[in-house]
Amino acid sequence: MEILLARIDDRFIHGQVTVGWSQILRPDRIVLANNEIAADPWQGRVYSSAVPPGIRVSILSTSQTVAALKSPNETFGEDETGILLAGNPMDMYFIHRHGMNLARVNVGGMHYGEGKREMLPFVYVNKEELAVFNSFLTSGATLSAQQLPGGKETIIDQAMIDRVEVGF
Amino acid sequence: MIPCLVVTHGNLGAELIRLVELVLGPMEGLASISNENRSMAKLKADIRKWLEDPNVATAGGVLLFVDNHASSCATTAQIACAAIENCVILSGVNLAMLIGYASRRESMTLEQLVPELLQIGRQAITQLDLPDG
Repeated sequence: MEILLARIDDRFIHGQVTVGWSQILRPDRIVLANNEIAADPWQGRVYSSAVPPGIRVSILSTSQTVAALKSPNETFGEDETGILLAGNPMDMYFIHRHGMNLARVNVGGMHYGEGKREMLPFVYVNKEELAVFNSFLTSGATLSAQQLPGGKETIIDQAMIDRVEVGF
Repeated sequence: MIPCLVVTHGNLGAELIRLVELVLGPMEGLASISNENRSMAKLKADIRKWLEDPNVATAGGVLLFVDNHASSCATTAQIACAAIENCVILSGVNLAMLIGYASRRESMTLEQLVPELLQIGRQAITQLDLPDG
């Protein structure tokens, strides 16, 4: 499967993905990689029902995602294109370091929570997430913070990470 | 009385309630919550907190409105309410539905109210006449 967009978004499947990005990228499939949702068929149905008709959906654990992306013809159709979603940097990094080698990761939405600091108005990070951002950069991947296609894109670089790290 | 929570994007829920209260006066048991600046985990926790409020939990039935199906408000409300008995979520909230709820919530059961509100909401979505030419 050709990954058109690998996106970190703690809201998973919602308007910015199903309307904003999907209308521009026209993916065949949305792959939601999350261990908790993959383990709960009911939650899986709830998220699946939020995907517009015409786009297939797979809800997989992070390990299943890696396996499926490595042998796409068994799980996904041949020559499919897809949007890959993870709810946090750790899950996306798991997929990245287990052989997917994502060149570019879209940081689409990480909302405020306890212990988090603001990096951008739609990107709040805790220490662990910041360390994973660091790992992405060390691995050569580009971290692009952008909520919507056509919207402002900010490349998350080392200086930006360092600036937030000082606050912890 | 059936308590109600309006879960929306932005300030929509709070504004809808403000307008209902302009028509019908202050509404105890009618609250709103926005997904703005809330992670899904926080939104879920805050919906649960509302559901666990003694006035809500003992009401014998609760109603939630969301503004749009297939949105993070809808999925989060569904997941937050998964284990709640006598709970109904209606999507596509509009002012007519909310006024319909507010004016019937004392006299109807949840079972009676739901089909009524769906009808009111759909009736409010219509093309309005304009003079020819």
